[in-house]
Order: sequence, then structure tokens, then C-alpha cells
Amino acid sequence: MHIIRYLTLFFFIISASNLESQELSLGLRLQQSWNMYNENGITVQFTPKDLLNEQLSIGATYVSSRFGSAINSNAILQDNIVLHSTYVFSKSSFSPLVRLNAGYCFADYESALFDDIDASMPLLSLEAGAKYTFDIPLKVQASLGYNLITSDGSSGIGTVYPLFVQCTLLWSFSL
Amino acid sequence: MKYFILIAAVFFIGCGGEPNITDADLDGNVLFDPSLYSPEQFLISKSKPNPTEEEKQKAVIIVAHGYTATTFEWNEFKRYVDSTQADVLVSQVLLGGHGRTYQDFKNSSWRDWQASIIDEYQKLVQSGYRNISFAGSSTGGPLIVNLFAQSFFKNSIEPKHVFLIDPIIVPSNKSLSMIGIFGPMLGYIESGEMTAEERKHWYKFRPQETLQELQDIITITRKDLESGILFPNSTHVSIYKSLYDDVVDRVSAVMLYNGIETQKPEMKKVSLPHSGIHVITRLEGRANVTEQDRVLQKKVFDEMIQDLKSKQ
Repeated sequence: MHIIRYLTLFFFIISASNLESQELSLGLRLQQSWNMYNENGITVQFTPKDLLNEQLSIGATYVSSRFGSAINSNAILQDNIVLHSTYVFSKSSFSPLVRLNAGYCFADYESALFDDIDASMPLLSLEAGAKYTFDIPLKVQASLGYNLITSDGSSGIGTVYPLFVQCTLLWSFSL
Repeated sequence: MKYFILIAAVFFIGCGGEPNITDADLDGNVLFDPSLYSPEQFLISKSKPNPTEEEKQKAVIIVAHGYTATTFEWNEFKRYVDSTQADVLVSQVLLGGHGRTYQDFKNSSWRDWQASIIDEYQKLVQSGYRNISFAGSSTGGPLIVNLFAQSFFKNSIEPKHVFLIDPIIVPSNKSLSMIGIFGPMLGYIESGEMTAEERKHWYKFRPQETLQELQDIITITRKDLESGILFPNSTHVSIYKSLYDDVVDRVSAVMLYNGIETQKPEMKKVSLPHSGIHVITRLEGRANVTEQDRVLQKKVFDEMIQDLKSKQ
């Protein structure tokens, strides 16, 4: 239900904008938590034309250990769905950026034995990094992130760790 | 948010100085673990080095304590086993670097901690014991599980049973994952509130070097579990993990259960008691112990003894 709610919100924001000359970017996100899992997935980012000189983007990302640490392993299956807002400090090809993510993490422990353990928790994280735009419509964003919400051992999902690094490859389309 | 504050504090304060150790702390030069003076009261290899044929068949359980703890952590189990006349021999090992001084602890690695477990097992095998089991609390858990990941028992006596009490694979406090970054600036971390009894049996000050060692062994074990750790054909596993433990995250039990491969699925079991006590097998010296805690501890002890006896 949370996924549907977030996606509905995201598409509402997009549809409420003037799509003419807007930019939509699709891509892959590769994420590695410090001393925990590698999680990869997809991301979509929308840059409204008339908002903060096209330096602010909004988007949605899905990353999962299913496409990372849990491939052919016993790592816990966990899916992260976040909405995010990214601000780049200049429109030049290379620019620092900051990003705010908010969403949910869902874990699958693969056994009813662990039904007493929380299988979902909210996510809230900040990132700081940089982006580089190539001559072709390809962008690379790399950043260091910090999860403001982690498990205390008695609630939440224990595999959500504070520090993470990520690299996102985005292909841009003009709408 | 508390981690942010911690990080900010580290940057502003800079390098930590030397800990303020008193004579009332195990960390100092006055108090030592009693097993260093009288090993024969704790180790079966010392108290019964030449067992009879009958004794060789008896169940022997090597019990390993957690990070910063000492043999004290398994005293209650030993006393309970003796009081029930269960005919089980309990061998309490003191992990390397533990029960001595702050400096000894600071200089030790997780392999030093594990060496005591290996040493006792090898001496028991050399003495002729054939029915050997293990129990590990907290960090004792990954130290034991790591032996299976290394196929340590491949050409030796297969352990009968492994009991893991709140084994740490994921800590409750996730800032441990960043100890490699901030540890050198911190120097050491002081434990939270401890009773006078606990200060005699647990290190109060945690050198960042040992926290990095702890992070290393839990990361190694987590990755081994992700690949799958095949246990010997005759080895059973029991995992006990308190649901509201503020030291070890409960997801550790999931990782261990999913990552340990026994010959038959019914040879591994997991129990998740609704308790906030970290290592229920030790209640002595705690500030607040309820009747419910005592009942749970007795239940765990009884199950352990029953499992040990059933494999004799």
C-alpha cells in the first residue's frame, strides 16, 4: 500500500507540472551501505523547468538487496522505495548536489519463525555529493548518504545502516 | 540523529585521552579473572586431563563469553548444571585478551579471543573426550560459528550441539559500523551504567582497536552466513535471541538461522523470547532482575541440558 501511495504522489506532482520542455531522467542506482548490504535498482527523476532555475529535481527510487547482496546468497531480502528531492548548486556540467530521501524499507525474512520481527520501517536520509553531465544526455550522480533513522535492535529493520555511498547513472529525455 | 551528534562531538573534541581506570574496575591492574589463577576450576582440560573411559563419553560443553566479559558470564549455568546433577561437564574458557588489563585487551585481536576456544577444544580431544558441544554468548557466538565456516572440525571430533545465546552479527547500536572511521579519533568508548559487580567482571572501557576487531569478526561471519555455512552431519544448533535486547539486533537470529546449513532442517532451531535482557543466561550482578527473567533463564538452561543429555 505504501508503494502505491508514494507512486501516486509522484505522478500527481509530475502531472501537475507544465510538461513542456521539462526533463525526465531514467536510470540505475547502485548503493552500498557501509559494512552492510549492496542494493541496486532503478530511479526516475523529473526536473521542472521553472523551479529554482532547473536546479531542483524530484524523483522516485527503488533499490533492493535482491539485485545486490542477496543474489545467490542468504542475505536478507529488502526493498527500499523512496521519494527524493535533489538540488544541484549550478547548471554547469559538474556541480555539487544535496539530496533528501524519504520512503520505506520492507524486509522479507523468508520464514514465519520471524514474524515477531519488524518487516518494515520508514526511511529518511540525506546525501551530499556531485553530479557530472556528459555531452550526451547522460548524467552521473555520486554521493555519500546518511540514514537518519536506523533500527535500535528492538524495532525496525536491523540491516538499515547509517552510512551509505551511491552512484546513479541517468539518461535524460526532454518532454 | 544521535549518530550525527556523536560524529559532531568527535570532530570538535578530537582525540580521546587515556581512560580513567580505578582499582574497582576489571580494566586496572588489581582485578583479574579467577580462571587465570585457578584454571582447574574452570577448564575441564585442567580439572580432568586424564578421563576414564566412562568420562570420555560424557557430554562436555565449552562455554564462551562475550566481548569485554569474563568466565563470570557462564557461572550461573555451571552452578545450575552442577545443582541438577545432569552429568554434564562445563568448561568455561576465558577469551584471549579478556579478564586481564586494559592494555592487554587493547593489544588483542579477535583471533586471540577465539584462540582460547580452539585451545580448550583441542586439549579435550587430545584427552579423549568424544561428546563435545559449544555455547557462545554474544561475541562468543560468531567466534564459534567462524570455526565451522573455516571447516575447523573437518578432520576432528564433530561437535554435538552449538548453543548461541544472543549471538552478535548485527549490533543494536549501528554506530559500530563506523568505528573504522571515527574510532581513531575516539580512542576508546566507555560502557554505559554498570553495577559494582559488573565492573569486576566486565571491562568498562572499550579500546577502539577492539571495537574494530569486533566489527571485523561480525562482518566476516555475516558474509560467511550469506554464502552458507555447512555444519557437520551430527551437529545440532539452537539459537536464542531476546527480542528487545539493546546490544544485539534481533536480525542476527535471522541471518544465523538462514545461513547455517545443518544436515536436516530439524537439527537447527531458533527461539525469540520476549525479553529485554542481553544474554539471559547471566542474571547475577544485574541491577534489575524480575521473576520472569529467572523463569526464562531456567527454561533455557533446562532446554540446553536436555539437548546435551539427548546426545549422550
